[in-house]
Amino acid sequence: MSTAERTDINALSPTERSEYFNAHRYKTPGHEGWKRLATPGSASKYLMVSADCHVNEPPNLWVERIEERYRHRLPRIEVDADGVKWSIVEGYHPVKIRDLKMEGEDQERARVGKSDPAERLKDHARDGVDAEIIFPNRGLQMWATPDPLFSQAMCRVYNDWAWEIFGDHYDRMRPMGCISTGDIPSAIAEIERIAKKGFKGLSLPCKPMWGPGSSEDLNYNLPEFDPLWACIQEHDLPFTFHVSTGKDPRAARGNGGAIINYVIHSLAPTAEPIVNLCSSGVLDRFPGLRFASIEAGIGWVPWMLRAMDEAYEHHHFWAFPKLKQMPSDYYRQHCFASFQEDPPGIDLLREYDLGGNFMWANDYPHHEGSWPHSEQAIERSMSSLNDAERANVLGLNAARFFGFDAGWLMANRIDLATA
Amino acid sequence: MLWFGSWLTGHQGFEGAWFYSGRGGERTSYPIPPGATGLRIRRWPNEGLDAEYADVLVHEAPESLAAEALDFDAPQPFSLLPDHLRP
Repeated sequence: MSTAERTDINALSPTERSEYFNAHRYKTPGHEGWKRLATPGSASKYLMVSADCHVNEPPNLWVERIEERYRHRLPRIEVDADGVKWSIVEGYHPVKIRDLKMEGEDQERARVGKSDPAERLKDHARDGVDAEIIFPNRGLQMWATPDPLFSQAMCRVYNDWAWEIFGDHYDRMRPMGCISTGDIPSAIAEIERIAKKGFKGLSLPCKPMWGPGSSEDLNYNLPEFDPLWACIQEHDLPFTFHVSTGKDPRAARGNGGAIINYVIHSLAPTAEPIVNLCSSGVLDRFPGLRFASIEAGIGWVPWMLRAMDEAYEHHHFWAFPKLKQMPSDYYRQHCFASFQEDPPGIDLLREYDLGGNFMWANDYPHHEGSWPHSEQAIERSMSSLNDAERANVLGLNAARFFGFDAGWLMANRIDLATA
Repeated sequence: MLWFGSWLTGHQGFEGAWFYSGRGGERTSYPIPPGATGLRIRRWPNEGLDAEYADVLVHEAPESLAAEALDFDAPQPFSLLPDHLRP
C-alpha cells in the first residue's frame, strides 16, 4: 500500500502529520549479530564521522561583512505589485515566500544546527557522531550567481567566519573552505589564504560557472584548471562537491516539483564534476588529488562507473585523451561519496569494490538526513555489511579522506551524559 | 528581530557604509554622510529567511525615522525583481 493510501493525510493536524511522516525514522530491525553498534553512548560504538553536516550562519553575516560594492546584490526578500513576497537570489528563479510552520521533530530539526560548538557537541552525542564535516546552510547560495567574483567575495566572508567559530575545534568539527572556481586566479588566491589559516578541506561548486550549462562554459575537464589542481595538490587538500551548487535546483514547477527538483536538479548534477575528473586525464597529471560528492547518495555510483568505462571502450574513436587506467579505476583511487540512507548503494558496495569509497553522513540538521535517529537508519540499511565494512563506511573512510586522527577521536569520545 | 541600516549612494540602489546592526530597541542619531542619497533598512523577520528591506531617500526622509514604522510590504524603488514581477 502506498504512503498516500495509508491514511487521510489532509485530515491530520499539523502535529499528527509530523508524527505520521516521522514514524519511519524510529523503525529498526535491530542489530543482532553485530560486533559493534551505532548506539549513542555504547562502549562498543563504531567511530562515526558524519561527512556532511550544516551550520546555520548568522542572518546578518554577509550583509555586515561583505565589501560595500556587493552588499546591494545579496539575497533578499522583495515585494511585488500584488504584495506577494519573493526570495530574490541572483542565480535562482524568484521563489514565493511561504509561511511554513513546522511541528514536532520537524520543528526541532529546524531549530538546531546553530554555530555554537558546545550545542553541536550535545546534538552529536545524542546521535552517536564523533566528528563532523561542516558545510554552509544559507551559504549554499554563495555560488548562486553568474558573477564568480561576487561569489568569491561571499565565500571569503563565510570562510573567515567559519574559522572564527570552528578553528579551535578543528580536530572534531571541520568546516570546508568554500571556493568559487569560475575565476581561477581568485580561486587560487582564496585557497592559499585559507590554507594559511589552517583549513584542511575545500568545498567547490559542482560547476565552475553557475547555470544550466553550456559547452562554451569553463568546466573541470579543461586544462585551464591545471593551476588550480596544482595548488590543491600542493596543499594536500581533499575537496568536495556538495549537491545544488552548480545550477538552480528549482528548475521544475507544479505537480511533483519538490520530488523532480530534488532527484533531477539537485542530486543528479553532482555526478558531473566526478565524471569530468575521472575521464579527462586530470588525475594522470595530478595523482595526489582526492575528492568527494556530498549528499548525492551512492546508489548511482556503480551505474556511473559502468557508464564511464562503457563510453571509454565503445566510443574509443571519440574518447580522448587516452588514459593510463579506466575511468572507474580513477574513481576507486581518488573519489569518495557521502550518503545518508541509501540501501541500493549499500547492496552494491561489495560487488563493485566500493567499500573504501563510501562515507556515511547524517546531514545534521537537514530533514533529508537521519538526525537524531541515525542508529535506526544505520540498522535499517547496513545489515548486509560485515563489521569491517560498516566500520569503514561509518567513520574510517571519512577519517582517511578528510585527515581526521581516528585514534584521537576514539580516545576522546563525546560523553553522552556531559556533552 | 535583527535590524541592519546602511547608506545608499547614487541613484541605483548601491550601498555604502552601514551604520547599524543589532536587535533593535535603540534610539540613536546618525549624521548623514556626504554623498548619501538615502538609507536602506533591512530586517530579518525569521532566522534563516533572507532580509526584507525598505529604502528611504534622503530628500524624502523625515527628521526622525522609526524603523518599525517603515512599510516593508510596499514595492521598493531599487528592485532586483525580474521585469514580469515588477510593479
